[in-house]
Amino acid sequence: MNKMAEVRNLYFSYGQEPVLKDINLGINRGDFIVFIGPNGSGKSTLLKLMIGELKPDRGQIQLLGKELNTLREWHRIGYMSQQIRNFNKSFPATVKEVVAAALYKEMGLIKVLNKRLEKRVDEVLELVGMEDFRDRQIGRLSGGQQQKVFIARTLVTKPELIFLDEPLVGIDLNSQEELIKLLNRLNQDLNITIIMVAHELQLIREAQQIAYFNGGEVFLYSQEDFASIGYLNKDILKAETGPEIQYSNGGDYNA
Amino acid sequence: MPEVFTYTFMQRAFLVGNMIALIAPLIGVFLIMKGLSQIGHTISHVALAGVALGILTGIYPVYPAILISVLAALVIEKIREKISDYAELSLSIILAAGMGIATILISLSDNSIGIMSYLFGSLTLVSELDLMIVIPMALIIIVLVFLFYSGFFYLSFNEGDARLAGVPVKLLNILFMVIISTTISLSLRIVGGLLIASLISIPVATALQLARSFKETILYSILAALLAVNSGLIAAYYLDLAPGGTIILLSVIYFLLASGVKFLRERKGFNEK
Repeated sequence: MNKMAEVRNLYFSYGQEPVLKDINLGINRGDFIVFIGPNGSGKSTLLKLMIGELKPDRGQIQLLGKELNTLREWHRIGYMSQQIRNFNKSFPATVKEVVAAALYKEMGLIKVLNKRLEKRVDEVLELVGMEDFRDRQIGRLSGGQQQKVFIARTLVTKPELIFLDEPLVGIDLNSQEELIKLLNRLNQDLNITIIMVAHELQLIREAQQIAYFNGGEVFLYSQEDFASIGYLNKDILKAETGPEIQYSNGGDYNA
Repeated sequence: MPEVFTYTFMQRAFLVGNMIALIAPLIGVFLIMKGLSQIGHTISHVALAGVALGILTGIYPVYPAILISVLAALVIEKIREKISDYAELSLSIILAAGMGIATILISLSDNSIGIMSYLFGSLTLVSELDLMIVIPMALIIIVLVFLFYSGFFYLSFNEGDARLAGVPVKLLNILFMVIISTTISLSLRIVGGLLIASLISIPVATALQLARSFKETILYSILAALLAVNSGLIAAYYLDLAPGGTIILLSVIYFLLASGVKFLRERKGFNEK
């Protein structure tokens, strides 16, 4: 099987505070994996480590079969941070301008958009259903529309592996459903590997694998195993009322 | 031909003024959208120290102004990168240091007219040498911004995302700082050190009232600056006013007009809904 990402014996701490201890994780092409767990359990931290935004204390991370410091094909990897929508809302850029910026590496000597790249922007906007908003200012769109634009921006470089950090936060329910459908389509039709942090029940149910973070450790489950331990039926129901999944029994979901 | 265009010194002033009107808002758009408008203010005060040094030592003042302001800009960039929490405070300290040095150097010099022309801008003192420096440098700046357009755009939108997209963030930030300080130093002669930061920001604010895209913002801010500089120079000539002040006051008026247009446009849009 084609390994897209691999984490081996990874340790990370913020100062004296250990966050991740001896983490091992392998992700194959076409996988759809969701990171869940309580606040501060290291989900986003692992995502940031995997894209090289943070450096581990110890251990190895490989993407596309290469160590991060030797990886050159970053265009094959997409990342949407949790803060992606924290931009200046009066920034005058249009949807097209924002998506096109991600093609920087593919522009020639002069860093402006050519016809071929412009077509790519149009195609990716069509893929996320935002083609009619091409010339609208991004700051004036709704949260859900903005998130679709950022997904389009992540996809415009044709990545094979995408990392998403809480992509549904702050988005209304209708848009959430649309985004979940979109992510499913990216994974199943385009075979894009998806690694994401989420806490929404609907999204967790779509994933093939669930990585549960707690106490610096990560427990990996298939969707079936995860459902069979009753987690989805019991504790997770509380998630729909709060911003984070609640663990009524201190994280012991077998109880 | 109207009288204002017949004098050689006015022709020079128009040439230099229009070049500045092209580059000041061009870099201003990126600077303001990055949320760094204070940097323009700081660098212009530091550049004045360079001017004073030039006058005192008999060197053409724009050279030391460029040199010292580029150095200060690189220090600012380093601080911004390392201790972003106190970036604002460090800008104030650098501004104060620049102004302090400038004041001491001015007090040592007996050429107060020369200094005044760099503080407030001057029409009559734009020299052949100013022309020879400003025009090629301005063209280089325009070409550089065009070459790295998408990189600068992405840096202003989101530096972190730009890095992930493969934009050489550090290199472009340094290049940008060099471009800003050079633009400011070149503009001192015509608008003056105390007012150049306004010519960088006000036309951009005007453009933001009307523009519907980033490209339009750049275009409109250049148009607003060209309008302010040309009408300002003409008014300053006929009414015998300081050109810097006249240009800036007119840009404020154009800003208010643009805000009025925006208000009317939005009200119309609201009524149509």
